[in-house]
Amino acid sequence: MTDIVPDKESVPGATVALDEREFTIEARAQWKTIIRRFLRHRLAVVSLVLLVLITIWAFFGPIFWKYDYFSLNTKQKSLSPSWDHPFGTDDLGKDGFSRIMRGTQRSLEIAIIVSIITTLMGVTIGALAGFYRGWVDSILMRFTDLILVIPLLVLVAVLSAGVPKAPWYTIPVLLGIFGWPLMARIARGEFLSLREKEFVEAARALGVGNRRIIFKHILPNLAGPIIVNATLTVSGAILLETALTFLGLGIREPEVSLGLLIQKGLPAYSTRPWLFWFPAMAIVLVSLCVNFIGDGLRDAFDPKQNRVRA
Amino acid sequence: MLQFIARRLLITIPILFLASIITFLLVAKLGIPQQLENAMSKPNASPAAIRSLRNQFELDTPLFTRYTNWISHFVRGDFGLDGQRTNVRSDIWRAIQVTLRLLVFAQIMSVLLGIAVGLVSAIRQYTAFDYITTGAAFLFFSIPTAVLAGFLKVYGIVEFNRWARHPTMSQAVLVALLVIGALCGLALTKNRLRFSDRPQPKKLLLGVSAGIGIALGFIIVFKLGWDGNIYRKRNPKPLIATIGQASDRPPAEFFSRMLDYFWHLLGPSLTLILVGFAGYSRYMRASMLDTLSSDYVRTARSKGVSEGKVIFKHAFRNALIPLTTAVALDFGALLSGAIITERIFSWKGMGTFFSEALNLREPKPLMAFVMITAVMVVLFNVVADVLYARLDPRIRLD
Repeated sequence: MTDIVPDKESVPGATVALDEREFTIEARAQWKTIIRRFLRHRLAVVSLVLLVLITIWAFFGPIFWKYDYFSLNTKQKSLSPSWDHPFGTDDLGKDGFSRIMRGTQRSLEIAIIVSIITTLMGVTIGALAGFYRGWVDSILMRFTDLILVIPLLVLVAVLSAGVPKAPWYTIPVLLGIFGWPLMARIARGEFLSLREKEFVEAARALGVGNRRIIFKHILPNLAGPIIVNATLTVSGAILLETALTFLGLGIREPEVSLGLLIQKGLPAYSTRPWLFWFPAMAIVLVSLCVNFIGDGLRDAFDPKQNRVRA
Repeated sequence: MLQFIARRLLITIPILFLASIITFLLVAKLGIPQQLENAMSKPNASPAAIRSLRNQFELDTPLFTRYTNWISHFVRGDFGLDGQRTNVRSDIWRAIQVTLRLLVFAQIMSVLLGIAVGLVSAIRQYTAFDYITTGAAFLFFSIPTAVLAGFLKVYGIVEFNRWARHPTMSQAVLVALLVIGALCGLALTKNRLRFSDRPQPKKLLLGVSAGIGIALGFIIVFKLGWDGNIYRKRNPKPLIATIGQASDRPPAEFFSRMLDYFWHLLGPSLTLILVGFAGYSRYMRASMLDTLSSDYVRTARSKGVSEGKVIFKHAFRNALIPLTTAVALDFGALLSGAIITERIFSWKGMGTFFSEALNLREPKPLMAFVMITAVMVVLFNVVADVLYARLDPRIRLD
């Protein structure tokens, strides 16, 4: 149908057919773009699905599973994995499968608590320091330096050794209370640069108050770094919990966490390797998933990035 | 510059002072030292012995006096005595030396590895090499140190030692090694090498031969070299040590002592290297990608500067700047010892010093540990700042 194509000379400029030139521009909200970008990161999507499945398994699995995580069974000590006990049993006859479910559940809870406390404290302190500057900034940042001077693991180990009979949630609360400086620095940096932007100046010229500027104008722009960092805190918290528990200063029996299972399983590597392998795989799987999701989110929120991933 | 350093150090003094007060309170809150508790729980505990221990730990002096006592000695370099009446300063100095040996070696190796891998995966973004190293990096920073160190120890080194006693390989393993070696060689040479614009000569041949070379070297070292190993016959010990930082009686002669250190170093440093590599390679990759897309690199390219020069003279050197500061910061923080790694490989470094002091609830060693760690963190923070300013002329220190 070459004859329909208009001649270049006779119709100047009309090199493209009319219906091809007309197209509608669909307005796309920012979050839609972000979700689209995130979905393009295949590994992150797979990780997200996997993490959701693991979470469901860890929280609802125990309801349906025939064994619980604390009952001793003297007739079933140190069994290797079988259909009856997929992850074997330990030297007291406790079922490995239900213990890993329980441990994963606890580890996830710990990580979420740490992440929430870290984010709330870090963003609040960083926002105040970055927005008000001056003496508020100096005091808050010196306070941050003070906490950064002692390594987090050392600080929480000393604190946790001081309360030997504390309930399990003291560990994540302590990790959260002392783990916020990185988040605070990120938030402060963003606030320092955003508060000088024209849109903030415009808002101020309209008579908008400080509180509204912080919450409505600046904070939404920080969603990216905050969400990414909160995600990475989750995997960091899982690893820190493992380290603390391994030193005997974290989660203690009869509670169960993945760190505790590894602490118990490692010495038995030659006789009951399944007690080390299954918790190790669970912890690596969870934290790998979280890290991939964090990577996907970082790519999705990064406005500079618009190339299609291979 | 000197003024800046002096001011930075001055600012940190009140911070260190505050940190010392807080940790002193925390340590005091830990409860009575294990030694005293043991003495008190004995059925025939003599009140005199308990009183002398209480005196030794200054439990009956008010907290404030205890603190002023401690800090006035501490700032003069007297770290006090621990429960066994040994000098804390010489103990901690020994621990620092052990930790430094591990740390310097592991840090140098992981930085070099991280830089090399990060550089190549940035230049060859989205190639097989990039994906494999990215995957490895993600894996290594998702593994808890306890799991990685435990895995390397019990499934890597112990198994290797067992095998090294009677090193035989089945033909299937030999063939598999050859194939893996050849694949590695191919992977290294197949992708577009963008260092020069000249076409690569006979890439396939180069790759295969490199691979076969690697595999053959592997086989020669392990199959032939080990069968007649003199070292093994003389030494009934396992080759790669998994316990301690040196033999109980290290050889007196310098070279063999260094060798002894090296075999002990391998396990824990491999753990730290893998973890460090994961971080640094990602960092280097991001930083390199950032510089590669910068204007001055584009300018250099458009002037017709050769690709090798663009990468190494223009991009690489600038990409190293942020990495340098990250390494300096890490080094300060790591001086507190790789607590988990040291425990698994039974090294008597700073980490073990800390966990033992914490278990025994000994105030003097704990304070010495926390304060030295804090000073190191602060010092290397200043080092990082100074390095940053020296390397990047756009940054002014004032």
